[in-house]
Amino acid sequence: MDPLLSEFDSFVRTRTPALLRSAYLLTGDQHLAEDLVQSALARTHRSWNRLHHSGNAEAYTRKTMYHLQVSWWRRRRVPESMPGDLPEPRGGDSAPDHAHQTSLRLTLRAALAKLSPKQRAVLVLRFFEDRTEAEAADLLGVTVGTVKSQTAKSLARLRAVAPELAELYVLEGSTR
Amino acid sequence: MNDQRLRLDLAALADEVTAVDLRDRTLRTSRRLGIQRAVATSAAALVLIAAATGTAFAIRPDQTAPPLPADTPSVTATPTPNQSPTPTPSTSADDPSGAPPSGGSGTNTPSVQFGKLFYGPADVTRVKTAILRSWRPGGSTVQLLALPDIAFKGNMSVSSDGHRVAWVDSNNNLVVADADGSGKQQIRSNVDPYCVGAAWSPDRRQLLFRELAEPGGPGRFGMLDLRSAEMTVRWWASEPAACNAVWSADGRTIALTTDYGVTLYGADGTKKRVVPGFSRDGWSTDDVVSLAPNGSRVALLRRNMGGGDAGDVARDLRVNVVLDTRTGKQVTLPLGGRTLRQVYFQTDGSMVVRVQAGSGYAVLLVDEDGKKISETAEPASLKDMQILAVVD
Repeated sequence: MDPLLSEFDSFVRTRTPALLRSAYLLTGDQHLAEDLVQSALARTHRSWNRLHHSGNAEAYTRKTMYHLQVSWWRRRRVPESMPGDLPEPRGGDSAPDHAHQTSLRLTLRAALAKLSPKQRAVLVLRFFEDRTEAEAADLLGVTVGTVKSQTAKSLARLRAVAPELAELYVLEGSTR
Repeated sequence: MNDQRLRLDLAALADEVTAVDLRDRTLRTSRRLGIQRAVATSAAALVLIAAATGTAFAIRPDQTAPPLPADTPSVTATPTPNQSPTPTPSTSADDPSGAPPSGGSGTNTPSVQFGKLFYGPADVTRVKTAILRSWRPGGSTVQLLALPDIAFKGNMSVSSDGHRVAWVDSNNNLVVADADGSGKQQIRSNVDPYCVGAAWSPDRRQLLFRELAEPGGPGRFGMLDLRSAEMTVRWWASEPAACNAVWSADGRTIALTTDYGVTLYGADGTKKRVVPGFSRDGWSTDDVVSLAPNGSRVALLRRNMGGGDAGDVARDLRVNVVLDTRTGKQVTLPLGGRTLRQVYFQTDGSMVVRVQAGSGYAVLLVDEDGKKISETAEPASLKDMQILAVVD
């Protein structure tokens, strides 16, 4: 096998699980997440001659993935409101048992689905990938100010669509 | 609690995804991309790379007759297409054989004839510019102006008389020029090059485009008045999440790709109806190619979302189905067992149908009732090209 292709195969197989996790949060759907990662990886493959030397293949792939997701051509594939309403909030439970955790996760997923792709992207970058505002801005190709404002709007939107989450999260966001 | 809780919950949510091997699908998609721009690492360039696989669109033929109601089931075939004046005194024939019709199995009726077909390279991966060509079956191919690769990737448009070309260049400027390259004029800046590009109205008076919005995606829909001295723009009141504008020849309907399928709009952006038959988990399309003169049928590339290879954002002018826009039902075409490649409606409702014929292609002239009128083999020089527009 071509050594370059072999390297790319190895890259795909080792990094796909992590990429899929981010893509799942961005899209809220297994198939759309696969679709997104596949599209980003395909672009990485086309640039592999250069990327495999630079060691930046994963950064490139992630950057491409985020841009694909927030660009209109992908956004139109993801309904603004995904199927499924927010689950009814549970009342009275203070102990986070398994069922409660599951309920919260469903609530969070449904709430994320009600955000715009850009808002989801900002939240995932800041709170899942733990990127700084500057890193998130670089990945999305926007200013730090835009990241700050989008983060605030995203959290406000989360609070609006899922008030029960507002009780759990500090919704003003963190600044780094 | 603090934002650490949000981090933990996001991580737990991410655990729901199932790991899969995307290697083979990635390589297939990579092959299909085929029109990659030069690699760049800036974020802005990445937006372009993502979108460069994006859009192109078809050009609607002219319709100077009074408009028909949008729901008119059929149109009367207008007598024959003009031998429209060649707009290109500086062009040169590159196929002196004349590409005489061959393989014709039908009889040419005087009321339905081939228009002029415009071609560009099917793949511009390795070139910066390419030549636009035209060909009328039975005649020679003609070289027209050179256009930048971005125009062929996504956004060029030929006016309904075939005399002028519009495109959005890599600096996001909307440009028009005569088909021979003369009279080039930049008429607007900050235009999104991929979503709509420049879609010429059938009366040639207006260009539909989308403004470029931050941070690099398409914004407002604008209808630019080419006859006004100031090139005034009338903005649509709505901003549908839609791309790939294709006009009907009566000027009353614009088909745009939305969500997973196609939605029809009026020229003012008013939504008319959604073409049935598309869904998130079923059939989908990213690329509407041609619309019947009265908006009753649409030609497009339909994909099955469950097929595993869907989601490539590449713009594709191939057509594998013609659908009734009211019922979503497929229109039968007389392909003779060959593979359908492209379809363009003409102003009389007839269709120019491109099919694979051996190692090359043939074009069929099919009337609006689905009957083949004639068939012509394409010149071999067009083998690596695709049809970008058909005008009468």
